[in-house]
This record gives sequence, C-alpha cells and structure tokens, in this order.
Amino acid sequence: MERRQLLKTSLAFLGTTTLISFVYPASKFLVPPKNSAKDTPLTIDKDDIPPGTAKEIIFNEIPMVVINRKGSGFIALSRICTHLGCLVGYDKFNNKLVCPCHAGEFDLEGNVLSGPATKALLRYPLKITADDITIG
Amino acid sequence: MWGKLVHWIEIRIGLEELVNKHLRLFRTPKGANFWSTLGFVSLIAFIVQAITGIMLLLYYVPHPEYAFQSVQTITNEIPFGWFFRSIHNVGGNLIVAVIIIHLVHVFLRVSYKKPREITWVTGVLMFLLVLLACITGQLLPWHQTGFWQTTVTSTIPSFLPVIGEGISSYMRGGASVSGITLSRFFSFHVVILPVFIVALMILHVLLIRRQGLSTSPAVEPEADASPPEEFRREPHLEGHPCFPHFSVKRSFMVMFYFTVLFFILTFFPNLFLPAEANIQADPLLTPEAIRPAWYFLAPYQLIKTIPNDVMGISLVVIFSMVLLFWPFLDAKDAGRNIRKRPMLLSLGLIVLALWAIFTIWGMYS
Amino acid sequence: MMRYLIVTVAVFVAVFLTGLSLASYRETFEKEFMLSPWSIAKGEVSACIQCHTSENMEPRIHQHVQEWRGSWHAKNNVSCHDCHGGAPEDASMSMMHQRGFKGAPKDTEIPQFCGTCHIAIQDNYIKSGHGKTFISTGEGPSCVTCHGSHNIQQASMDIINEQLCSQCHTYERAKEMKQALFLVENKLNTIANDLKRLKLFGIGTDMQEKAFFRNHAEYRALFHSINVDAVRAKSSEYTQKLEIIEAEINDSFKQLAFRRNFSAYLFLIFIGLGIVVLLLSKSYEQKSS
Repeated sequence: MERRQLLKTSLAFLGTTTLISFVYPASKFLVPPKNSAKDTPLTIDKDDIPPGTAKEIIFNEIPMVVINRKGSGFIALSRICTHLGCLVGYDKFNNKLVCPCHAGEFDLEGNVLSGPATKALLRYPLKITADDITIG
Repeated sequence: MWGKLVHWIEIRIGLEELVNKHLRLFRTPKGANFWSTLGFVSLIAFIVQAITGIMLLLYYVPHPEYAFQSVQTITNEIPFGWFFRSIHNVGGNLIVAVIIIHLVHVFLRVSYKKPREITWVTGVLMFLLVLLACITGQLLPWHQTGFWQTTVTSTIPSFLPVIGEGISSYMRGGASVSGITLSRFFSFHVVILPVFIVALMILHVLLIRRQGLSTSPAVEPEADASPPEEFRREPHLEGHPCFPHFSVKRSFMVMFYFTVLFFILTFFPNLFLPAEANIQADPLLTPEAIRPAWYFLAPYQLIKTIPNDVMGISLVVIFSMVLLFWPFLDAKDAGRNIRKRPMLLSLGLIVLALWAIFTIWGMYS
Repeated sequence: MMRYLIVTVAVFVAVFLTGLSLASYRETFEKEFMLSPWSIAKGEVSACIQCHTSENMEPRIHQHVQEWRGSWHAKNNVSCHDCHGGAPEDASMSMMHQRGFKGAPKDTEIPQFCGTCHIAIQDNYIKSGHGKTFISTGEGPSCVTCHGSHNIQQASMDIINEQLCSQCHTYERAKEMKQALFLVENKLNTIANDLKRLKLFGIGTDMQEKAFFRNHAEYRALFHSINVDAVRAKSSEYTQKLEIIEAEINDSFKQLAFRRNFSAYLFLIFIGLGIVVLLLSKSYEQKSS
C-alpha cells in the first residue's frame, strides 16, 4: 500500500507538472506579443521632395521610397522588389519604379506593370501635415 | 476541501451511484489487455486534434491570399505557435496509425460478430471520416504539398464513368483547386466532419458501454459458438472493475501515445512536412514528385498499377465497402477464436501484407 | 468458406493483373495526371519549341532547345520569348516584330540583349575594361563568352578560371579578382545553405532570403565592373550587411534548439508518467490476484 501511495503521489506531481507544461504555452499563445517597439516615427520635410521626385529612406530597417507624385500626392512604398528582394529605383522620366535585377517594373501605386514579380510593392501609411510627412 | 466539493455534487446528481455503476461495477473481461485500450487512445488522439485545431483556428485565415502567411505567422511569430501546429500535424498522422492498429486488433479478436455489428460499422465509418478530415486538412495551409496532393486526389474520382466528373467538380467547387476549394475544405474540416465523427463516436461508445467489452476468445473460450438470441450483458465476474484497473491501463497507453508524439516532435519535427510544405501553393508550378500522405500510398499505388482506371478506383471503393460491412459478410456460424479459423486469419494477414507492400512500393516508386 | 475464397481470389486477380500491364499504364497515368492543364509543363506547349524541335530543323537548332532545357533560365520559367520576343502561344505570330520578336542578336548587340533584364549587370559591364574593349573594338568578352547563350547555368566563382580568363591576358589579374571576392562569396554560400536548412524546419526565412538575394545580386553586379580595388573597398561593407543576416539566422537556429529542447522535456515527462502508470497498473493487478 505504501508503494501504491508513493506511485499515486508521483502521478499527482508529474501530472500537475505536465498540465502546467501545456497550460503555460497555451496562455502565451492566446496573448500574442505586441509588435517590436521600433516604431519611432520618422518625419521628413515636404520641401525635401519636390513634385516628381522621390526620397529613399530607411524606416524600421526597411528600405523605402517616398514619392511626391504629380497630381496624386505622396506615397511611401517599400523598395523591396516582390520577386526576389532587390531594391527598386525611382525612374522619374518614365514615372515608374524599376528593379535592376530582372527589370521588374511597378507603377507609382506599387502595382506590377511588367516583369517577373507577381505581388504589388508594400505600401506604408503616411501622415501629412502642412510642412512635413510622418511615417509610422 | 475535496470531500466538501464531492459532497456538494453528490447531493445534486447522486455522483456516488453513477461512479459505482459505470466505473467500479462495470467490469471488463479477463482478457482485456493493453491492446483493448486502443479505442480510448483514438478518442484521446481525436480530442488532441480538436483542441490544437481550435487553437490554430484562432489565428488561421482561410483565404488563398492569407492562408500560407497565417500558418507561417503561427509557426514563427506567435509564442508556442510552432508547438500547437506541430502537435496538430504529427497528431493527424498518429491518429490514423492508432485507428488502424485498433481496427486490426478488433478484427483479430473477431469482436465484430453479433451483437456488435453496428459498433464495427460506426467504427469503420469514423475511420473513413477521419481520413476525409486528413484530406481536407492537408489543403488548409495552402502550401505546394497540400495544393498538389488535393489536385491529384480530387482528380481520381473523375476517372469513374458518368458520375466521376460530377464528384470531382463537387469536391473542388470548380474545374481546378482554387479559393472555393479552400473554403469548402475548411468548412468540412472544421465543422461538418467533426460533427459527424462525434455523433458516430457517441453511438460507438454507448454501444460498448451497453454491451460491455468483448471477451478474448483465447482467454475465455466460448461455451458455444452460436451467437446470442437475446440481449445479454456479460457480468465478467472474474474480470477487473473498469476503475481503477482498466482505466489505469488506458492511461498508460495514452502516456505511450504522447511519448511517441513528443519523440517525433523532438527528433523528427518535420517528418510529415516535406520541403514543399514550406513553399506557398503555386498553380503554375508542379513539384517534381507529388505523393499522397503515407496512409493513402497503398490505394494510390494500387490505382497506378492496375491498367484500367475505372477498375482500380472501383477496387478501392469495393474494398472499403467490404470492410464497412464485414460483420455481415463473415460466416454466420463460425466462432470467434481466430486461431481456429485459419481462412479468416490468412485473409486478414494477406490483406495486411498487401497493404504494407503497396504502401512501401508507393513510397519508392 | 466460399466467401473467403471469393474475396481472396478477387484480391489475387487484382494483383496478377498488375503484373500484366505495368509499363503501358504508367505512361497513360503520367499523361493524364502529370501533364494535365494544371501542370503547365514549361515550354511544352510553346510554339517556339514545337517548331524548333521538329524534324525539319537542322540539328544545331535542336541543340539550342536541348541546351536551354538544362539551363538555369529554364528552371526559373524564363523561356524563348522572354529574351527573343515573339508570341509563344501562336505559331503564326511567333516570329513577328509586332509581337516584339528580336531574333538572334548580332555579336555587338549581345550586352544590350541580356541587359534588357539584367540591368544592373549591364550598367557595370559597360563601364568595365571588358565592356569598353568589347564595345569599341568588337573584341573581348561579352556576356556569352563566360555564361554561354542557351546553356546558362547559375553563376558561381568557378566561371573565373584559368582556361576562360587567359584567352586574352594572363590569369594573374583574374586570380587577384577571385581572391578579392573569396571571403564575401564564402559567407554568401554559408548563408544560402543555412537558409535552406532553416526553411526545411519551417522557419519563415522570407525576409532573410530577400536580404540575402539583394546583397548577392549587388555584389555580383559590382564584380562585373572588373575593378579589383572597387571590390576590395566594398567587401567590408558587404561583410557587415551579411553579418546582420547571419545574426538573424543564428537567432533562428536558437529558436529551433529551444523547440527541440522543449519537446524533449515533454518526451521525458511522458516517459516518466508512463512508467509510474505502468507500475500502478501492475500493483492493481497484484492486489487482485
């Protein structure tokens, strides 16, 4: 009987440990962490980007381009080509973004015009005030 | 403290009487060994799938644009997301293995004979539904493996004359696997199939509780081979009470199940996730070798090898039907001791051997 | 008795029939399963390939298609019309200039031809010693000298070798360049292999793969300037960028190790539980008997 009692106690102990080993991950799973706090917003002067030009910046370690489109206003797009990851460049003469690796072309909304990419460039929200633009 | 709680419940539902009747006085026959617990293990495996499935459901998005990304997020960004996803993935394969072993054990014990035919039929039906759940589940992560496996699986019925195209179309919701297929498979996998499986499970368990566990003909030879003509539940006076003796055996097999599960998770975490499972589905790019999951390799290889498509598929269907209605096809007056029935034993072993051969062949062809 | 006989015979007949027609069914199966509309076998339905592999064509034309089939372009779904223009789906328009057909480029047009897609490489090449020589004199290496025209393989350091590079000058200068490239290329190789391994284990390597590719592409483009000093100057910059990727890769390996350890801990706990429950079961058996 003593042995059985010992076994029952070990069972209770191990069982509780096992239960906690499942409940702990489950509770962490249910509450996902907030996104990493690198979100200090970046502000650029509007005058830095005259109409028809673009400025290349890095925000949250992501290379981006802020374009002042004639007639459509400012837009912030990721420069990472959705094909294989090269950085696209702004072609101001033809009003498009071109990737130097395999000639993928995107319009100034980020949509694919031609080339091997299939998805549009990621777009980031901008806050525009009278004098400047803020990302993030 | 514990006593007070028990007493509180006792006054309201007569807990003591319930526990006594269904757990302590319910006796299992003498031959109830560890193999007899496999049905219970299948139940636990199903519950594990259900719980991990619900957890995945919290973050999964059933749309072709977002499905793959949501699974990647679960696996890599949500804390312990990898844990629940892996358990669901490995568990989905383990449950099929457990059910197959349970089926073979019941077959070798010839437990399906009168009065237990319905138990067998509900069991095989559950098996088929679980296989369907596996097929539908495969598509949900929207990776290359699942997408192309589903393409092949949904095309196989189309070889049947007249109804074939209709069945394939119904399965896919169109001419090819698309977002409609994903929605369809999602609803089947998450709601429709579990509802039916649970309903069958309740029937299956009710029957077992009502009729009692079947005896082992080797341990307790039957007095006479002719089946009973009236309802009778064996008291099994020489057997053990269900609680704690048989319950403890059940618990052991459940521990064994989890041990195997975590063994695979530790040493072979991507055993059931081939390389293409990490690439998003691309309808324009067929991977080099599309192979179904291991439990479908045997019928797949059979269909591949038989020259006539219709015959191949019909054979698989016929085999499933024979399996489903086996208690009614088995010789009525033959006894339950399989050692005294060499024909049945050889039939069972031949089918098992053929299944194993075709599975291994399918793996390497 | 009869039932078993029937079922067993049925099973044996099925297996026997399989032996009869193995080969022919495999072909039908492959045709109906593998080459169906959904698996657009690359180039098989292309008008270009249909004509250029037909019996009317000279063997050297057949060879172009053969070489292309084994190329890195073919593996990445880059087909005839992607370089030469024309319409691959319509034989009547397949070589029409209205559909952008360019034909085979003249030797002097080769850099521009390849540079239609490989923009950054062409930009660097034009400014390089190789490019300037080729464009002004027509002699010297163009793209196809080192990479071939249809049998293009994935670029690697092995293209820089004595046989190829000493056609015009001594191998010494090429060797110097190869040495300058060595460390960064090594790192790139290690990262590529690590990313492959991580991907197999389900780690989301998308961002790192993209970062790896763009660094790799920029470095390769830089090489085409054939300027050893420029390559040496930039090497430390690239090494730093690659080290950031390596750090992320290390984090991922640590994640994998944690996963393995956590699963191993649970594995051991369940072994322990199993033993305790088994002993408990045995003790109940003993008590009753």
